[in-house]
Amino acid sequence: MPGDLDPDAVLMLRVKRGDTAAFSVLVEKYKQPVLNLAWRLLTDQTEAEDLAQNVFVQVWKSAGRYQATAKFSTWLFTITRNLCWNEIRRRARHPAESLEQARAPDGAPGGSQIKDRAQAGVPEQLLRRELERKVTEALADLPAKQRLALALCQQEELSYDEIATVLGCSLSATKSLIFRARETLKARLKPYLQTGAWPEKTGQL
Amino acid sequence: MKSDPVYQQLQETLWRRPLTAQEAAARRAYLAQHPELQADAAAEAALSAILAQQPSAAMPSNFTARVLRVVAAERQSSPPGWRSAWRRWRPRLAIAATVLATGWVVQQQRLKHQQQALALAAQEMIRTPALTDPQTLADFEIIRQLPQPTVVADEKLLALSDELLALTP
Repeated sequence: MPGDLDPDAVLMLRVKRGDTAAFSVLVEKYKQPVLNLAWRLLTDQTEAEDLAQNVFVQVWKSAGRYQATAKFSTWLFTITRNLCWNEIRRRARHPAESLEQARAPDGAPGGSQIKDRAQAGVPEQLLRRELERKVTEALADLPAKQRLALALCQQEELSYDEIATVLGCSLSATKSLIFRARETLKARLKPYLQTGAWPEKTGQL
Repeated sequence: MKSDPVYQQLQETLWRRPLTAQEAAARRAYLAQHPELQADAAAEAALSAILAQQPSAAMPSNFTARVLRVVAAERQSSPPGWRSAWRRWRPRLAIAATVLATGWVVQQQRLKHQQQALALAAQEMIRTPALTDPQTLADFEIIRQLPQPTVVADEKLLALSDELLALTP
């Protein structure tokens, strides 16, 4: 019964019937998480935007095959994962420097580049930028599957079980991937973690 | 990974979101009893803070409009209803048609071979000479009506032969 379904699944049932308004609601809701995931995997703003767009087009085209029993976000992130994997494989076959990377020689993601430059000159901001660069580099050096696991881990709407579904592996393997990724990051960013150079802003830990 | 399930649970929660006041207090209490874990716990907390502060990707203001435009173009280019279904089923139908055509061709070949074998056998039969000349059968009735030799006659002939043998020195 539609009443028992998650609201996104109800919207998807409308999308299945060709309702673009329902589709628009879903795009608005998930565009940022999908773009973030693509960006963290591909580390290229332009490619991530194109990929996120393709994800939603794919959602529209595959709406007929969507089973309302599956949680929409799990299905959506699985599509995102598949397209990212394809892109990573394509890159491996045809390695080439992207325009985005050429524009950002310091490795900082293009998305935050403009904002940071506007605030350059403030020492805290410079320090933050330097740390961000280190973190971005450390993340980019992780194996793609660990990077994906870590990125999905930050999607609050997904449970560990759902992350495992998106990754296509068991729950214990998923937690192991996240653990290994975090251990690598801790080792790589040890100086910053020990000195507390990274000021805490959010959350009570 | 740490073996204590409560601490492990708190760690896994920390991987995903900041802990609530209650969870943080439970974690602090556990760490107070296990000082050997404090360094790693501090690193875990700092890493979680770093990852939580990772900036989001910059979202283009016209993203949704772009997606909807592409979808609208898709809708116009993709025919609805039976034509869409036909497009989806076309590859499967093509495969099925190929399989059927291959099967038909194989069957036809087999029939052709059988027919050729039959034709060869028929030719062989035609080439075989007739067993009886029709001229031979012209006197068939006369021969059939000739008296058949009887067993008695044969016995008389044998006795006569024995007598002749006895007379010979």
